[in-house]
Amino acid sequence: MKNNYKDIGDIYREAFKDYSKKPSAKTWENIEAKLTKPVSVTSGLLKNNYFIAFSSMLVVAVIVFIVLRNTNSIEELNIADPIENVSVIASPENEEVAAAVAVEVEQELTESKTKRKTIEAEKIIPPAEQKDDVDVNLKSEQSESQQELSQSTPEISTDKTEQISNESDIVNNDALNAAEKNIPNKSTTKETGILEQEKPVEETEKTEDIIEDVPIIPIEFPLDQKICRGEKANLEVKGGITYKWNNGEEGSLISINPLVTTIYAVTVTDAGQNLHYGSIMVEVYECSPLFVPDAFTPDGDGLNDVFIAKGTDIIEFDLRVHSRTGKMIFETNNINIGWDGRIDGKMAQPGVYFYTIRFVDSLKKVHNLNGHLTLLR
Amino acid sequence: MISDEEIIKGCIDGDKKFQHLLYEKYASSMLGVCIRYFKDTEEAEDALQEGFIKVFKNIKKFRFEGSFEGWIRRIMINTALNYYRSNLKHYFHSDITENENKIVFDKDFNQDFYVEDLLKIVRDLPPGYRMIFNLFEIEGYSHKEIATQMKISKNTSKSQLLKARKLLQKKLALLSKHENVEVR
Repeated sequence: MKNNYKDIGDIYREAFKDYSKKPSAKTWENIEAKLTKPVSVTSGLLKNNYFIAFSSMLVVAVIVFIVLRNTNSIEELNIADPIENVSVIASPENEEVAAAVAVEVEQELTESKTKRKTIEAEKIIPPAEQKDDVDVNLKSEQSESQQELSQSTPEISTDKTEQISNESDIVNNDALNAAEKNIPNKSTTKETGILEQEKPVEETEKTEDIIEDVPIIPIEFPLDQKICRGEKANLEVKGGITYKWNNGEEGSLISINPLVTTIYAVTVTDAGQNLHYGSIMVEVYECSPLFVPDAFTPDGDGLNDVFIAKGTDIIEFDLRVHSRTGKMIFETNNINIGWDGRIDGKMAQPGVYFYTIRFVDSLKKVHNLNGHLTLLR
Repeated sequence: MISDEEIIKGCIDGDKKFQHLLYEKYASSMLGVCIRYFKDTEEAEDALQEGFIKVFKNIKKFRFEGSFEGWIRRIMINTALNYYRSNLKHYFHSDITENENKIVFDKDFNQDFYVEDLLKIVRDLPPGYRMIFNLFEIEGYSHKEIATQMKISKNTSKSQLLKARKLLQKKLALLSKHENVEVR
């Protein structure tokens, strides 16, 4: 009688022991949104800092470059005749130019227009006597603004040149050569510049970055895979914007569990709205040497009375059964021994229990299995 | 194949890829758990969502002892319990004081039912009944545990379980007699 007629609790326990339902896609989206919110604040800030630092350096370099070109052209116009010996002129001229640059950058930062005008005037007016006069002017400027740095030794300044040339790619050779002697100035203007110029720099650089960076990302498809039947595999495509898999999924990463060899095809849209197709073959092999039941009925009727794993060619074996609360209630290292559904000699409550199995197969491969089992009355 | 341990470690590091993997691995079976505790699937998905956020935020507390699936499942059930408790004022409890140590059930069934039918029937139960039936019959909680979790007396748990079972039996009997009848 009892064997044919089921208790309502058993009916439900049996029906729902492995019941699963795929949640809608928005559930993960919501989780993701909630998870990334606090994280992205910090990482975003970090990125911003790097970004600000980098872009402000870029802008300083660009300003230096522009100013250099201006001054160069001015000098070309004005000094057309006086240039007799390039090598001789080179160093003082460079000194001036770079110093002028430094001064100019400084001015822009401090935004003192009047100062700028006077310096510009100086620059244009004394073409003939520039070697001496401007030098003096500049030196006084330097000592006004950066006393310590103008005193700094040549070794230090060249060191800094190297550092800076590494840091900012855009500083071109002209600028570097020209500015060689005055790098200390430049570096300090940079440092102060970073603080003062953040905002405008960020805006201009950002737009450039977006335009340049996006299309470069190549689409990366996963390689073909071989899995054992019952195992899951993960396929991940990188670099796209939207993904459409032939199994209906739409994520960049899909987790699959095919029972037979299956080809997964995916259509990827990149940032430029171009379509890319890829396919991945997942070969399924019959390789798990262990069968683990998901339910048992320790009622003494001779059928499924013991929760036991069945397998061949197992070298090492460890089975543990845990209760819902995580308490270990059974352990064995013998594959021929299973759990009889008793805890300390008393029949355990019907319901869900959990197992973890660690075993080593004949190829010395270590497998870790875990899952749940249902104790039915 | 990536082991649970690797996935968990990735999640502890906050790696989004591993979080997604973990979700993919357990979301369906956990919704299968949550769904029994709520009248509609949307609510169950809300609970699932909240449960997973708890999982990710607390995953560093998982000590690699016992089953990870069991740990997640417990979080899901606790989330369902939280929902129940926060809605408690809307629910009506009748506390039966008489001691019913021996619960006698009047009907057993000799036929198989469709899971979806069973699900619909259990979800249509009043919230308290549904909670207790799920916890006791499917999850295997004791009346003592249920009483603590639901803030009711042990006897209330027992009597409500009895009522829940009777209600379910009645509906299943109806279903087995008239297969096409909409069960209400």
